[in-house]
Amino acid sequence: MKWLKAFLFILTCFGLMMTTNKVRFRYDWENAFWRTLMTPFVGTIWAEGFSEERFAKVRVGMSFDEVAHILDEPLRKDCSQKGCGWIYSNQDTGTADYDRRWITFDVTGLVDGLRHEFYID
Amino acid sequence: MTASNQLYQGLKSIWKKLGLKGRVKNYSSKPIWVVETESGKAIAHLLPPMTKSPPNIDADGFRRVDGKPVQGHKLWWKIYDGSTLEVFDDGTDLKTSVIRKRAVDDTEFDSKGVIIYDRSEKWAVSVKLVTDVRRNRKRRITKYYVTGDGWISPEQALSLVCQGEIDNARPVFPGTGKPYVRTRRDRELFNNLEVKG
Repeated sequence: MKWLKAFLFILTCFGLMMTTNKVRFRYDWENAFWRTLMTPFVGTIWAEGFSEERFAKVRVGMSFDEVAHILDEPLRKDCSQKGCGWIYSNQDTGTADYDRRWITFDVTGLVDGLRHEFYID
Repeated sequence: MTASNQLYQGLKSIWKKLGLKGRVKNYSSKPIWVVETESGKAIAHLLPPMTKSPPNIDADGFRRVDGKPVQGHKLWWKIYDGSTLEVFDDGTDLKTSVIRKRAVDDTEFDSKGVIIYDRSEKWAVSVKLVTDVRRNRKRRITKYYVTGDGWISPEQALSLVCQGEIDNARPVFPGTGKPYVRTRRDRELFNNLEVKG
């Protein structure tokens, strides 16, 4: 009985943390589950002034200028022949799990993809 | 910084010092690419047959060099920290031994899917195997043959196995008696040390 109570307590705490992470990071249940489970190993570096609310306003098809108007400067801008990637979050060490927020642009400078997920390295 | 935050940061730093990195060991006859993102860029390194990724690098995924699919997936199989993926031949296909892996594409490792391919064979490290043993009259093992090192004593073999440098053996610490080395459990009977020497 004692163990059952302890198990139910842990389960409830985990559920509450998962729900908090779901709301806080705007994740689906799967990402919220992994974000909660891997909490001790998370190391996310965020771009200065980053906000989930504003990131959620970015849409596929927006231009560089439109994105820059919504969000502050990313941590890094990676550009190649395939287009550009604006990195709004990164891992703090080579093996850390982190909240990945990337915006990718095609060669014409329009958003062609958004990465909003919990990344397990 | 609060006490709980300090505790959290302390635990995190212990975890990172443990350095649980993803590793890939290629026991197959086919070369594979192993991708890592340690420098911030996605770099794929060549892993020839019977080699493994270096211990200080966190390998993130693998694919075949010839572009053929592995278990039905042509691009990358993502692996996770702390897991060691072993790749074996399976007819013309390859099979792997890892609990969890995920089929992904190039954009998993770089925002625009730009992977730099490093064709140098110097990155990979040769796998080290115990392939034979010598015994005395009492059938006790007196020497181990380790690929790359030649014949070594049981003490040296135990030391290498404890450091994780020998890929097909593990240490055993019995309740009584001296620690010893034995082959890892697999389906092949006749490569076991019990039947060698």
